[in-house]
Amino acid sequence: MRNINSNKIYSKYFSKNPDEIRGKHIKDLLSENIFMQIEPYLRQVLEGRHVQFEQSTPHVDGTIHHTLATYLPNISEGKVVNFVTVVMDITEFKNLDLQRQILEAQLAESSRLSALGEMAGGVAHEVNNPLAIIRGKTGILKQRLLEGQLDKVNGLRDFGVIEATVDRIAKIVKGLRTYSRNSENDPFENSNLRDIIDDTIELCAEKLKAGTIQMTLECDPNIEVPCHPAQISQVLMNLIMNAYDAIAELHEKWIKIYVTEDQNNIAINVSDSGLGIPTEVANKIMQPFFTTKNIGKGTGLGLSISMGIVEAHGGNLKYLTSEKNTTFCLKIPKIQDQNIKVTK
Amino acid sequence: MKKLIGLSILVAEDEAELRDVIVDQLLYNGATVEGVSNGAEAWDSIQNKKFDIVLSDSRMPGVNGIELIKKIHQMNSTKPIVFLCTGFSDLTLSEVKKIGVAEVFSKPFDLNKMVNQILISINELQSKKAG
Repeated sequence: MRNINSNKIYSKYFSKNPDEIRGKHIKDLLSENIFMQIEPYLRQVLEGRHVQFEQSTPHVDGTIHHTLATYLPNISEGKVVNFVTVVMDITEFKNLDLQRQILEAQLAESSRLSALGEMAGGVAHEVNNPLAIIRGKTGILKQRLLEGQLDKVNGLRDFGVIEATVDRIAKIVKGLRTYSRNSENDPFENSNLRDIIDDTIELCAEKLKAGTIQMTLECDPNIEVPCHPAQISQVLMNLIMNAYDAIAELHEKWIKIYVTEDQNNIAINVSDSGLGIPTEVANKIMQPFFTTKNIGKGTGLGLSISMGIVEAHGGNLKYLTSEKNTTFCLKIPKIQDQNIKVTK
Repeated sequence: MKKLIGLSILVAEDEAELRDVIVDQLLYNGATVEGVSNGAEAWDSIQNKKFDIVLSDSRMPGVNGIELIKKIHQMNSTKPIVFLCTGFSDLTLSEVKKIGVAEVFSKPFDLNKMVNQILISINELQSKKAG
């Protein structure tokens, strides 16, 4: 296997003149190590097959280069007489791709945290109210006990209220934990869907109440789905917040979440009192950085990040044009292919 | 000891259990108390009845606490003393004082301190009138 001819760039890659390369055995051109790596591909091209493969090799200047090599056999009378090698240096492309992946992960994280920040005030209010109930009840119990005014019936009722109120705070905290957990490296876990939706709604409850938006949920309490609960919560939160912004100024204000299932998939539908999205907007909503919200309000990343999450779950996220009211449908499979790569 | 005998108080709080706790303690202290769940209901009551004191939450559905307090502030007849009970206010203390709030109770608050503060404010108002 000797070199017949090569272009300038090929010889430059080996820091040699084309004359020095011509007639040389491939083994002498490349290092022994690299030759061993490409040997199986050489065997394939000599059998008359088109071969293409990627390789990471140390360059003469010491840096690692990523290359895409293609071997095209030249067949005459059923025999491979020679073959053409095309090598593309894809190092820059590979590095850009890696940078893009890192940036995407950072954007997803900051979008998740900014949604959390938006809710922080609401959550503070949501926690302070039950705390005020507990503080009030303990004050009353203490005072009446001291003044000999506490009877068993009233005392037990007040303790019951305190217990229920502590549970309420625990539920809010659980919602925050579900949402804020960074589950990037976790395996999928079988999770109760109703719990994930309840936890998410609990986090938005105060904001929805302040906006006098009616929220309803229809979901079988026994549905289990393999997923990353924090990520599904993030998608739901995004859909709820989009619905909130869209209907805030409408006379009729409601958001409805309903869950349906078929043989293979679970569908979570988030519907609101808005009457759909204009076609020209609907065509673009899943694109990164597309937003109809005011400057500083929306990043234009919510839906595209959500779509990334849902696709990583092997599902899809769609705007349903068939519905009268604005409806988004998040579909995820009931059984997960363990090979699905999970990205944020 | 019944500290609030003779005072009529309106409590506007959308969270029923919290409203019940506040109303319960004010009643226990001898006040006449009415509880409502939003600013619109509170405004209706204020127009039909004379209250010495209004205790209002800030965030409530429909007419919120701040809007209610602004309306009270613009009344021409004798105004009740207004207290704001809040867990998270978008306004600063000086901003709420400007619209006539006597004191802000931050949730979670101590009900007995609240009762004492009500007494202090009533006494201040009476000594102002007398002076």
